[in-house]
This record gives sequence, structure tokens and C-alpha cells, in this order.
Amino acid sequence: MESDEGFEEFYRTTRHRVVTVLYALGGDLAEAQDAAQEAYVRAWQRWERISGYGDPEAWVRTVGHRLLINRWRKIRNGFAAYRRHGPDPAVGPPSENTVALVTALRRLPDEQREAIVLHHLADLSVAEIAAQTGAPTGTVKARLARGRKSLATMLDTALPEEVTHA
Amino acid sequence: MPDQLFTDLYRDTENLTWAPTDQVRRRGRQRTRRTRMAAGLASIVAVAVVATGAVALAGGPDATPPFPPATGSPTPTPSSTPSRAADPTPSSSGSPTGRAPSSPSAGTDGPSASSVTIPAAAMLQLADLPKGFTSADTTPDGDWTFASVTIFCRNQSASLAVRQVADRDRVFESPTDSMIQRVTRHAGSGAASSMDRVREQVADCDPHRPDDSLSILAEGLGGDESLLVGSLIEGKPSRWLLVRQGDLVAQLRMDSATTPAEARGYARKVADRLCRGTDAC
Repeated sequence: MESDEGFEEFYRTTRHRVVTVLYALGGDLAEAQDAAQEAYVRAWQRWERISGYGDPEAWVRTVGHRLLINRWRKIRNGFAAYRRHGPDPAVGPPSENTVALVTALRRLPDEQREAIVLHHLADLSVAEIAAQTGAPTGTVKARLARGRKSLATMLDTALPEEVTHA
Repeated sequence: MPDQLFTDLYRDTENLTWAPTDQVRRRGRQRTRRTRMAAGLASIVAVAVVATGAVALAGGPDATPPFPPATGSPTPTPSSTPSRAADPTPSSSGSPTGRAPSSPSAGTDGPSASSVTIPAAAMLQLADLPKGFTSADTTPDGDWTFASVTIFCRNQSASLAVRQVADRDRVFESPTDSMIQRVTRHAGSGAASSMDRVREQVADCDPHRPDDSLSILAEGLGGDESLLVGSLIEGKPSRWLLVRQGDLVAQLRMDSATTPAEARGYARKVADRLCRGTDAC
């Protein structure tokens, strides 16, 4: 796979969103980055095909999520070296809000967490989440509603009821 | 929704250090090479299976039936809209846990068709592991093998699949750990050559970074020959145990703190199990 026109820009412009979503889904930033890096490797291998998709980023995000689910995180990845290279001076500790949010997300059922993250971080509509997760739109709406309610309680904050991207 | 929370999350992930694109390409090429190698092997095996089947049919009703074709490394078929059911990508070997191993090449010094399959009994069993482990019905994914760290060496690494004709994987998990075993069968003297290549790769490795290293931590732990291999990449240690018994080679991904004494215990168990899959014992 040597013809990878557009891959470099894709990798550069989407990785921040992808790793943030994976971080929110899995709760561990280092594991999220390892999974994201591996997902981009796999995307590069199939770039001719994937670049023709309407949303290549969704493919990478899904693959990265599957890698996390499959306990791939326990298996060494060659890219781990990059994030273990030592603390990047530009990267500080996570903010208090981030710690609280990630902790709260981890306490949600998987389906609710996935719906919340895809909607509020990946900016997917209810219909898009339904298509990606294979759940009916009504189920997705219910998961979002329950997830928001639980998050509101855990984070002690008021949350809007409506789904803005629906 | 308190968007500020998500804004903070994005801000906390915006300054990560990412692998350069060239490194992504390099890793992609490496994965592609391995996949092709596995697919090529599967093709050879499939031809051998057809040939074996033809001979079996010609031999009459008492002839041994052929083995089913190897599955090889299936290529994932991602949809434009990824779904939960989509299989991202198999491991580089494409060997599902418990998959029936492949059949032999047609070489005159290769193993017979009846002996090529790696039986389940030749794999580690739950009884061999500490309490708390369970057998995981998953395919080992990601780069967990010793070969995966050789990319940190400048020099090109030769494949360890020397005349490899079959393989089988098994994954065990505990609440806090996992263990992966791959057993491969090699034709002729391929198994011994594969072990030699491990030694060569360790000895010849010229690491990209001066503090990285590969080393043989122990030998002679069990079986016909065995190696406890260690790596130190960016300060992170890893361990692999390789045990050869006849034409079989077992590779185990061990805990990163495994000592030679601990490895010896596993090596003996592995060697004993391998004896159930080879006539060499």
C-alpha cells in the first residue's frame, strides 16, 4: 500500500478527535492512544478503500474501540514507545473536570457511555449513532436520556434534556 | 449537556506526542508483509490439501480423508458505516483460537498429514496456570510476539516461520493478566532454524535508541531447547518464552517481570504438553 494520498492529512487532522473519543470510552488515555495508533496503521493498510468511504474517521474510531474492547490494550504495541517516551512537557495532568467526567463515564453502562460519547464528543446524530451501533433510534435516544440523567447526578450539575444533534 | 466538560477533555488530549506518519507507514508495511506471508502459507497449504485429498480418493475407501483447508488470514470487509459487528482486523497470523491447524507441505522431509495438526492437548491447559486464569475464547490481536519488537532494531529481521506448516493459538485471561501461547509446526529442521533465528535477532539487533535492547535471559529451561527472551524498549521490559520440542515451537508472552526460575516451571509444562503433538518425545 504505497499510494496513500491524503492519509497524512487525515492522520494529522483526525487523531485528536479519535483519541479523545477512545479516552472517554475506555477511561485510560495511554491505552486510548495505543489503540488509536494501531487503528491508523490498519487504516493505512487499506487506505485506497477507506479513503473512499464517506466517513473514514468512523472506521478508525470503530476499529480503535474494538481494539480496546478486545483487551488489546494488554498486548504490547510497538507504538507504545511514543507515549512512553516520557512526559511531553506540553502535556500536563488532566483537568479536574476531565477526571470527573471520565470517572463518571466509566460508571455508566457501556451502551449509555457509547451513546453519550459518540453524540457529545464525536458529534454524531442519533440516526448516525443508531447506524453505527445497530440500535434503533428510539433506543439510542433512551440511552442518551438515561446517560445524561446519570451523569447529571454524578457530576452534580444540571443537564439539558433535549438532544441537540438529533 | 455541560459542553465545558467536553471542551476540557479535548484540551487535555490536544498535546499528545504521536508517531510520525512515516512510522505509521512502516508499521503498516510490516503488518502487510506478515499478513501476506500467512496468506501465502495458507495457499501452499490449500494446494497440499487438495493434493492430499486426491491421493486419499485414489487410495480407496480406507484412505485417510484430507484435512479441511486452512482459513488463512481473512481480509476484513469494513463497511462505509462501521458497525459493532465489523471485525476490525485479525491478528497478523490470522489464527483464531482453537482453529484447526493447517496441513503440511508436500516436501519429502515434512511431517506426514496425520501428524501435522497441532492437537489441543499440545497446548497449555488451565491446570498448568495459576488459579484465576480462564480460557479466553478470543483471537490474540495486536503485536504480541517477539517478532513485534524487532522493528526497534535497525537491521532487517528474518521471519521466524521457517518452513512453518501449521499453527495454533490459545489465550488465557485472569482478572489482572493475560497469557498468549502460539504453537507452530515446522517441516524438516525448520523448528530448530526458527530458534536459531531468535538467537540471531537478539544478538544482531542494532537498536534505534541506545537504551533499547534485546537479550537472552536464560536457555535450557525445558524441551529440546528453550529461550527466555527479554526486551527493554523505552524503559519497558517484556518477556517471551520459546520452547522447542521436535518439530514444534511454542512461544508464550510472559509477564514482564518473569524470572528464569519462573520461566523454567512454565517451560517444563509447555514441553510436556508439546510431547502430545510430536513424535519427537
